[in-house]
Amino acid sequence: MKTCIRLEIFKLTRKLRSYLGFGALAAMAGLVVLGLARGRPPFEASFEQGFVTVGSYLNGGFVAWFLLRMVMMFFLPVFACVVVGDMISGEAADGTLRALLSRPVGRGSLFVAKFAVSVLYVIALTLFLGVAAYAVGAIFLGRGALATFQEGTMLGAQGIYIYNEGEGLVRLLGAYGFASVAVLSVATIAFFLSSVLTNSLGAIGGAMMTFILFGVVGAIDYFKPIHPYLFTTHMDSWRGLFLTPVPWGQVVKSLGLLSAYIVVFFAAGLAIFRRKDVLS
Amino acid sequence: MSALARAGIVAAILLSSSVAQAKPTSAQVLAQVERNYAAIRDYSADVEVAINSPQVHAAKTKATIYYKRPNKLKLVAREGFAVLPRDAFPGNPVAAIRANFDVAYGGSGKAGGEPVHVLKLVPKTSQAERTMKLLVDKRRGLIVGTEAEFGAAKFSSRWTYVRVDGRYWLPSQIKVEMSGAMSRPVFDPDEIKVVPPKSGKGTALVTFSNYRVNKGIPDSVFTEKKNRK
Repeated sequence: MKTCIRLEIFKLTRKLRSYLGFGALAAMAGLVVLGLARGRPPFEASFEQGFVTVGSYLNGGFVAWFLLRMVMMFFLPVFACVVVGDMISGEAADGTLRALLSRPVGRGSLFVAKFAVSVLYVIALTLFLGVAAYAVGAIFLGRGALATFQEGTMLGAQGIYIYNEGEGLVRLLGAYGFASVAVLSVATIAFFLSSVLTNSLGAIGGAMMTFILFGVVGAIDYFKPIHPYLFTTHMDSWRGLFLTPVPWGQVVKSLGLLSAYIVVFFAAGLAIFRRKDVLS
Repeated sequence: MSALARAGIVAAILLSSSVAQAKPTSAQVLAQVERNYAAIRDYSADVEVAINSPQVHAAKTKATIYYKRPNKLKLVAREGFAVLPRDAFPGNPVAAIRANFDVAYGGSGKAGGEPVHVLKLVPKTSQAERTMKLLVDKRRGLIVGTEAEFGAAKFSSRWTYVRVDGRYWLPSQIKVEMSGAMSRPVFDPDEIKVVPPKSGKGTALVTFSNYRVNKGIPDSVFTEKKNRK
């Protein structure tokens, strides 16, 4: 299994598309920092009543929080699906899947190895976003206390939440860990479709269609009874990690549901892949 | 004029003068407060602030306060950014009060079991939706509390003091309690609607430590650097 995983990692590193997401996210981090440094700050940290602000909230921690908020509900899942959706269907399209399965490696092992590498890729991509955002932000804007802004009533919260640098980093780490699971839930759908289809575009497009469809259904009141069961409803629960007190019930519930999607689509993909006629 | 009438006039004069003594003017109370700051040329102190309100949540933000006579005051967030209660950083409060408020004596009261003078402060700028009361300890002439209203929000603070270098009374802790409408209406992107101002209660605790009094602070400390928010 270890050899299988190592081989899959090697293959992943040889593909140009594997770096597309990293490059785009690094560019986004740069553009966001440039925009924050030169433009108007995105949140008004002024108070009509009772409080004064001192200094600037723009720093590496804020960029890491702000960028996650920006890319979580579209770009990050897209970049993850572009690679994960190609894991099996790409081999089928290239005509290498049959040759791969002719080796003395079980289908289950190959599937698990490819999924393990997909998980590693999603974690690496998500954490890279956090590290790149924090590093670029820290270099050009400095480091310091983390200020996050809760607009509206997300998780019942509203207002500005400030943490010292150490606590801010811990919360950011937790948020990016949560984001990895959330992105993996979409990526697992792409992986499942990749094991069913022989066309990467279909797998990637199918996963993104599901993602967008769930997002649309989640925005319509008529479907409110099923909102708690949509993974898109729970992908944003990482924001709860920046509240005081942290709504652990909501965060754990969201993690549970996202994990359930991962397990179900992984199991379904494995079951199909084991019985599938591999013709190319 | 009969002897009785003369005695009545004298009694009335004595009575009115004793009433006048019991009820000092706002200027006298402010002068008593100012005496505490007379020997202070400058000071700096470390500040730790914990805020828990519907509008602001800050665990332990740290800042440094610099004050230099006559009215230079500077707050520096030690981790780059901090939100602080507006009225908890007085420098020499008397100068700021005189500059910004019309002051009237509002009678006597008690704060923390101690008798206090109550001063009513009305902003000189008419656009400020704000009224404020200042509680001054009668015995020591120290500001021990404030009560303020900003529109629909109410703020009250209680100050405790420490004697620095055995000579100067300076605040060691200021506890602020707030209630009422604590935020502005905001647009909720998740629900696609405007959320009304949030009401509730909150507290802020400001702790001062490591006072350095009359050690000399260069004017450059107070030079404003361009801060972005």
